[in-house]
Amino acid sequence: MPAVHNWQLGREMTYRYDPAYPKLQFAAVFNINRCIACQTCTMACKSTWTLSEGQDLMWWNNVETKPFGGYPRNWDVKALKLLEQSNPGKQTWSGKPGGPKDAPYGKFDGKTLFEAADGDQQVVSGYIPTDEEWTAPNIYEDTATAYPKQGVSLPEHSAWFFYLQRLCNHCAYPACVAACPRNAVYKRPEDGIVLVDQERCRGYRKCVEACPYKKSMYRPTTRTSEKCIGCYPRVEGSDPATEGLPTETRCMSVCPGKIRLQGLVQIGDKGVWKEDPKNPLYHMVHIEQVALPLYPQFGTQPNIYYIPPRWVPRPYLRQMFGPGVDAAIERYTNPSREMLGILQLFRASQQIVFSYELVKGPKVEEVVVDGKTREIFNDTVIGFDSKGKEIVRISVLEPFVERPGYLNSI
Amino acid sequence: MKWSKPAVLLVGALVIAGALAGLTGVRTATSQAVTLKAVAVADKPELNPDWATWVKIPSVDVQLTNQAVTYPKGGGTVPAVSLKAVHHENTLYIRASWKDQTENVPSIDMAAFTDAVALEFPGKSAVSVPSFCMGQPGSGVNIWQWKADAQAGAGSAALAKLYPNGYADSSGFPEELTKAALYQPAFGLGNPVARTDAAVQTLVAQAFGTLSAAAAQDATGAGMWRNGEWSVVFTRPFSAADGDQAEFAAGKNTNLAVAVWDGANGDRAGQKNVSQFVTLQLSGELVKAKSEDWGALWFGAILGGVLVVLGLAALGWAGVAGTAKERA
Amino acid sequence: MALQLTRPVLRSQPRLLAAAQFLPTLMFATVAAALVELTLLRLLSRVAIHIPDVPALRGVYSAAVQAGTVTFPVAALLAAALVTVAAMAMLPRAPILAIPALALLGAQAALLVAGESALGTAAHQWLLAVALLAVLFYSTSRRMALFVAGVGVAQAAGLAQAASANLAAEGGRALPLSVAGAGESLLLVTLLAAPVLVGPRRWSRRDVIAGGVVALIGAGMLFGNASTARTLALWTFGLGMPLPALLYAITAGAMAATLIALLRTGAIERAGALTLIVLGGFVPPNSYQAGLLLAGVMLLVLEQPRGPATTD
Ligand code: SF4
Ligand code: SF4
Ligand code: SF4
Repeated sequence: MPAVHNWQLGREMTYRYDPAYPKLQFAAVFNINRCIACQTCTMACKSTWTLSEGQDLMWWNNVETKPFGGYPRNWDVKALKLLEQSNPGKQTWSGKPGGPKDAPYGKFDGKTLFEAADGDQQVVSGYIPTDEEWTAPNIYEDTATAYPKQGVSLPEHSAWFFYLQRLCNHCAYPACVAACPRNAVYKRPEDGIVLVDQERCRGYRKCVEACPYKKSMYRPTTRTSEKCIGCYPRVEGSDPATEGLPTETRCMSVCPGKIRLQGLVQIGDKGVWKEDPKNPLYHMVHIEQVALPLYPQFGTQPNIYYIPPRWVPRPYLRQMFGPGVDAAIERYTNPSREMLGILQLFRASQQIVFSYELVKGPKVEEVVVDGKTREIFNDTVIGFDSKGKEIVRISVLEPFVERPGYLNSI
Repeated sequence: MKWSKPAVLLVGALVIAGALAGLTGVRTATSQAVTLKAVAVADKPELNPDWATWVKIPSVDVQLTNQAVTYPKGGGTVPAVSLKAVHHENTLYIRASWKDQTENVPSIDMAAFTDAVALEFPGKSAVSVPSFCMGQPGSGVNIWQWKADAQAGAGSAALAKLYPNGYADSSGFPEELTKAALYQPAFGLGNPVARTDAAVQTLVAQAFGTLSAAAAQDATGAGMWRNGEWSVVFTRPFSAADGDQAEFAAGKNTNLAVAVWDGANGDRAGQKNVSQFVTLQLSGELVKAKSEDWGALWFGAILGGVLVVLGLAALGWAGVAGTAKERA
Repeated sequence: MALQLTRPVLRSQPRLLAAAQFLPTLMFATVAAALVELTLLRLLSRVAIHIPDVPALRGVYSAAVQAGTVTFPVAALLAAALVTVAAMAMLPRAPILAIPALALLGAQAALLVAGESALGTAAHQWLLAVALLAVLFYSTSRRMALFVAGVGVAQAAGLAQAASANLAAEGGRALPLSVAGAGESLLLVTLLAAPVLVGPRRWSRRDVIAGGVVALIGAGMLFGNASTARTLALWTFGLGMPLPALLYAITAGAMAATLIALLRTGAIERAGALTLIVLGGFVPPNSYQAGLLLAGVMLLVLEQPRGPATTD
């Protein structure tokens, strides 16, 4: 099997195909800390793409309550178990986080799902969830690990839950692509979006079996598998509503919690992101390392990055997002001026922000967080589209307007 | 080593003759695989595995093995398939039956797979080279695949049956729209797996992973499961409506391979039980289907064998004796 | 008993010279054509799934396979000619050996003209089994007799099973596959013993090393890419591999060592005959490979006796 470089694991790994990378890659950063589990994203996707018969159990976007929730039920526990069974006690990391961008989190010494597979019947270790597991997508909503009498406090809550927003990761090494014996699943060279060709799919469900995130799903009425299409007409700007400009997907652009920022990043040698410090996603993932991949140890090099929830016990988070968790939470809690600026870009525009610029402003406040004094500056962040045209301008402090008093005001 | 001029000339002549044969497609060798004989029958066969005449047609058991050539490997639960074949008025009928304790019809359940069987023939362009059955590059194959779920018409109806209490909120779109091809892309694109009106798909392929729908979907079939056994009948006119498919003719031979999928074993794709190519012989004359009289045939074969060996031995000894006499 | 039946065939050389003079050249040409056909067509096209789809490679690949496709009928004609000449060479002295061989060629021609049929194919397989067994009567030495008997009985078992499966098309029941499995096992043991039974008297260390290398390569293939190696073994040599894979690798090594040792000591005819037997495969899947197998076995017993003539 060919060897490919997985930068999230800081090492070479085996994959079914020789390395081939798109020019641009669909990617997004989700700030878990801000999600209110309103499911607006979920319904935006549902009402756009999966509203027809046979798609009843399909939720290409879903938001589940961790640690107990999961759609399909226990998907991550089962994938982790497959890995643990094939390599007991050795799913560990070495080295230190904060490394170069081809190994930013150190080195993963365990096995990926590709490496754990037998290669004969499966090229990715996996399973097919039953119908029952696909039902009740929001099971255990808002269910905490405990209900203590006293309150809880940072840095780690003793009773906790958090929301995990999920969709297809349009992985760099998609398990679904590797698993399909008919090359019916493919990754687009222009934007890295992964699609199932509905003309070629024969419903073998090898992609459903392989995808560890369980984001390829079977549609029993057409007997083919379908999956998140990354709203490609919006991303490529061919949807009439986009007026020809690359636009964020349905699930991203509707988010009232402003937790989501989606874009396209440039891919260089060995699939490592090209140096592009002015791209907000690049800045968060590679410069600040504040946003981390979901279960990098699965090996697919997923492209949705998460700013971890800062109240959750670290061992749980390290298992979910890798060894970069502690530094990411530290940087998110004490953000740099650049970071604070970028956070304002979340949901400030429907169009995809390809680069940003920070215009420094005056210091406006001093706050104490975890015993450390922090200064806040009212910088202004400007977002530009693919052609370098300004599409958004927003400051850290929202403009504050005191309304004159009225006698009859609501 | 001794080189003689006549020998070199002979070899040269054979090389030229062989090369000419190779270029013109003249056969110089014959296949020795198992032969399935399709006899011509006078009555029009029914598209029904229970058609009365089938019992009178001799069957050929074809060994199946697990598919171990390419990913995804699998199968191994169905050791053999029994084949019968007849033809009538330029239409071929093939009946396949195999043991399977479980009847796996629905693939409506996301984690369940259907039982299925497929016949594979060399494509039209490959018919001239049956002496070399497998791996002939550049010539495609024609596949007829029967699936239990497709026969059951698995689609919306089956879904409603599996989830009688299923209820979906109105999406706000009119039903004609959500049932339209646009909202069922596989159906809208003409993907044969999405069809709910045919139990058999007609497919063509050139190599692993290239399987696609044939231009003309003209093979049909019907199957039934009873007492731990599937029986499926396929039929297609000798000539297909498109050019890529296998062609048949009375008095002509071609090849045939079989694949069986056991849904209970999670079989699908390459996870299946496969046979090698067997020879399919289409008898020219109208033959009355005869009953199984294999005992007599075996007796004849063994007797003939013994007679020939005796004869040969006698001749051999005569030859040796002759030499001895000559010498003396 | 086989051992008592051994007797030299070529006691009266002048009478047989006419046909026999063709043998070395024909055998050499057949082995060469069969090797080319095997490499270009049957091996290459079957592993093509592992060849990367690069335009440059695709051209080379199709050219090679095209060449193989033309070589295949050349090899088939040469094999048929070889069987004919070998049979003629021994016809006066050994009709028991020659007649079934000629009958087999007749059956093959009939099948080619009339097309394959269940009965015709069964008859062909049956004749091949008889011809192979008949050769046993004319082995030139005890060891040779053991080897020829091993090959003949093993192939006959497999052929009987295949023929019974063909007869089933006419309404019959096939022998169980285990019969073929037993045949294959016997063939393997026979080939494993080839160094002793048909190898040269004196061995050099290099022969053994070469055999070891081939065995290692074989084992590497069988354990490295088991499915491809097994498919090649089955489709090219008819080996279902009921025995442990390691045994097959060692057998390949033993055969390779024997062939190299024979070539080194100048026993080119015997090496050619053994190569033909290997190329014929177990229960030849077509009449061409049947010809290779039979020619190989016949040439083994036809080879010129070395040293003093064994006239009685
Ligand atoms: S729309 Fe945004 S806030 Fe609401 S659930 Fe989705 S990700 Fe969370
Ligand atoms: S998340 Fe799953 S479906 Fe999406 S690209 Fe990755 S492997 Fe494929
Ligand atoms: S990107 Fe589009 S298709 Fe994918 S989950 Fe979001 S809304 Fe659905």
